[in-house]
Amino acid sequence: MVDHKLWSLDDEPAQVIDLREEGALDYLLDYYAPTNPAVMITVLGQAYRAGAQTAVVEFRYIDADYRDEHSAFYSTTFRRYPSVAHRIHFFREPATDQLDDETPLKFATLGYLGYMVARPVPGAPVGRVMMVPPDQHVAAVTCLSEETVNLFGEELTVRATPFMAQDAQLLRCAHAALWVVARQHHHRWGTPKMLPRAIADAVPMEAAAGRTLPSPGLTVTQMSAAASRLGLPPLVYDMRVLPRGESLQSIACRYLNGGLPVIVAGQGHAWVLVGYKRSHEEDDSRIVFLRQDDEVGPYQEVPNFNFDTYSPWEFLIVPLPAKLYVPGEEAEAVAERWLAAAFARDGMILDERYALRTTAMLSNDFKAGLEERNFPVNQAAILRRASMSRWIWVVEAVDRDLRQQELPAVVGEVIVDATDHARDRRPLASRTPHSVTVFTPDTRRQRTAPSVTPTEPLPFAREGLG
Amino acid sequence: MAKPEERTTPTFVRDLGSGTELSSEPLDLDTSTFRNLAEQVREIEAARAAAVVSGRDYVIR
Repeated sequence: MVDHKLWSLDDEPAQVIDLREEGALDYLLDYYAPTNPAVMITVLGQAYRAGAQTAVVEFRYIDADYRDEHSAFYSTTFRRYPSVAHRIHFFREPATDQLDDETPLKFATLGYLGYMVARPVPGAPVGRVMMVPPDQHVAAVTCLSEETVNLFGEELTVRATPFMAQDAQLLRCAHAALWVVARQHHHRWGTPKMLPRAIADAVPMEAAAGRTLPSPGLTVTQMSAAASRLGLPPLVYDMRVLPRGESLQSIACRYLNGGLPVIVAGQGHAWVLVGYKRSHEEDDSRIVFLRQDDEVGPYQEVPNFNFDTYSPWEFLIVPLPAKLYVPGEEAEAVAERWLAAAFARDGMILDERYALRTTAMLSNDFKAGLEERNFPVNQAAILRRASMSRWIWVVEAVDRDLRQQELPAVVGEVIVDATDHARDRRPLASRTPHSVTVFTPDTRRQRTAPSVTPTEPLPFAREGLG
Repeated sequence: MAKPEERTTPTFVRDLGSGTELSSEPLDLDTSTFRNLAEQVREIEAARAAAVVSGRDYVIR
């Protein structure tokens, strides 16, 4: 068991642990998670399943998130807690023998899998985690971002979804969920980095009963207000009051397609959806979600949300970039009409052979991906030159049969301005197999480029399994 | 300095085209597909408004 008096007082910079040795896992668990091991067991288990053979424990790691929690809470308690954390890095390959004092330590060639920060808090030992998704979920996790860290002067990069367990004092599950979302937006789109105290302080307490610290939990309204104060104003959906034709899956997947995490509340708990895939068992209608559950661990599979531990899922809270004004379901409703009209003009019918796939993305990313998607060159040229809002909705008509066969399946698409007027929605561009049309933003005129030959179905504007 | 209408484009400046010509007319589309759009949008807005009320009393711990 960890002796906190000796947490980081000696001069050792790090330990290298050979995870192939029997007892290595117990050594880590006994040391870091003697009283509340559940989340750490999940994280270490994922590291093992990812093939980790080496762990490097970085002592005296000044972790911005934990130092912030320490400043806000752990420095105020009678029991003492160290102000530094440990960071445990995981590598796929065994360590070399070059670990003597004379040789600069080098780990970059060992296949970096990510890291876990260990808090010196026995009741809540798992801090920030950035670990690659398990192999079977890699393609389904849509909310991925890159982080580059430094270990003894060497840069290591991991592509993952941020995770943090609540500490049950400063942060409850609702705060941890907001932290995950804010950190994903930070890594992916460069929004400000929000530390735990900023999350806790963003919660309005004026109209709430009780005290903020230790936190008793938040209402949906408080979470929503906190997200707004963090610069990510959310859309909130009550699952009991959905618009006609909408479902939890259809709403959540539109945001997940673009890598925008979705917070869910159910049974008084909150967690974050970070990806999804379609079940291959029967038809293609069942969605398997992946979530960051701060009480369990990252990348947890939810085979059927109707029979989940936390069922019924009651609210969706979707923190969004400030200028993504148009909700996903509204963008899709508008685009569906334009797609149908464009198809009709080109002698086609938008019928049940086609599903709609709706994705929020940066217009620059959309344009940059045209070439890779094998867009006809003359049509890509028009789209690349078109004026577009920074955030757009891409609504794609997807051939269901081709999607089932995992082949390129997008036969047409409409681009919707995410800042458009609520009473005058019109698209920025549309495509059918026979033409591309770009609308000038400030007039009602357009440019149309016909296809030389009908365009074959294309890949999704943004990769994913949905 | 020359007035705007008297400016000539120097030889070292080239206009970047937009890929194809701008149509002089709005696009001629069948508007019947848009008939119930406003109603659907109103439903979407009503659902969001309902969540504003119900979210006040739902506690997440």
